[in-house]
Amino acid sequence: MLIQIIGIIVLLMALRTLFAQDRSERMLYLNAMTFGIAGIIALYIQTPFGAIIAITYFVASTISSNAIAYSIGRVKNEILLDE
Amino acid sequence: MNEIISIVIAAILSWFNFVLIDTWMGLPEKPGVKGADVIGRSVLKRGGDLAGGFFQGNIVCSPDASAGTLLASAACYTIGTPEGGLIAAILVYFGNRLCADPGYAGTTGALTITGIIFAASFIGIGPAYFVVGMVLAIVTIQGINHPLASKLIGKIAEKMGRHTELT
Amino acid sequence: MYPFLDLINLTTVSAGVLLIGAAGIIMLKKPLDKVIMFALLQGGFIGMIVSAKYLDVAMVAAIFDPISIVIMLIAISKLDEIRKKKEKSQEEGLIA
Repeated sequence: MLIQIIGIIVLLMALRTLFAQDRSERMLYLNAMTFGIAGIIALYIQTPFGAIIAITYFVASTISSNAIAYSIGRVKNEILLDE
Repeated sequence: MNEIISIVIAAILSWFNFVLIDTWMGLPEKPGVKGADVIGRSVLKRGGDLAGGFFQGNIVCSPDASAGTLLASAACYTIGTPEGGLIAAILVYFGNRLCADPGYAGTTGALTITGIIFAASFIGIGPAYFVVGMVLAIVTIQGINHPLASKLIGKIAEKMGRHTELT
Repeated sequence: MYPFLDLINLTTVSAGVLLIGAAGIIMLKKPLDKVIMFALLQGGFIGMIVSAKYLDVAMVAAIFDPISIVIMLIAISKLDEIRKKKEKSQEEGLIA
């Protein structure tokens, strides 16, 4: 039952990421989804290696979110080639 | 019904744990890494509070007490109650230095939630409920409505004297 | 309602997130939005690998995916810088 509760939350956050308006809003919903996936991984695989994988995935996803947020600040409005 | 009460109690305990420790360590005051600045100003533009925006940006861009709480509860569930929390505290410390963040919020959050899980095990709430509770707590801050949540965090930061000076 | 709740496990949730990420990459127009949807797709991908119990593959995927995202971001910001510089020099060429 615990996995099902987190599963519904993850799907809702993923849908809100798709339909959000602002880019920074998308980053916040993406981060909430990452918390959910890390929790489900730890609850599904109940051995110590499952916790290690959850920690590795979470820290790596935080590093990539930091890189994306920094690029959002640097590139304010991109120029597309075919517009 | 028993499970739902346990999940709600665990969610409230982990919400207070990570919000109080993060505010006390100065997260709403300034952006710790560069990405948090962008997110904080975007929340301000959409009608929120700047200190709350920096708080939410710091949660996204660097492992802080929210990450420490979630990973320590996951480690306590799989490895065992005091050892798992210590292992998670060490790994979150490595993650903090990898993100070039000089703070100690993640390790503090992990150690305090290990103490809370140890105390709650006498009531009958296992670490699995804390994992679900932490995910629910983070959804209330970052998943429902960003300006309202940032105003709430701004009020808590003002009460603890950690509101931001920047504009 | 209860038969639907039984369908929710790690495999179906990861498949749902993968499909949402792929739909986002196809539908959204600006490259930076596509990279955000790519990060969503990575989450679903790792969930799928873990649900098949290939744990060492999941560890390697979790370490290498942010590297590919950083490479894409370097490419996007470099291209944008070059295009903005070209636009600015074209504007000055027209004025002067």
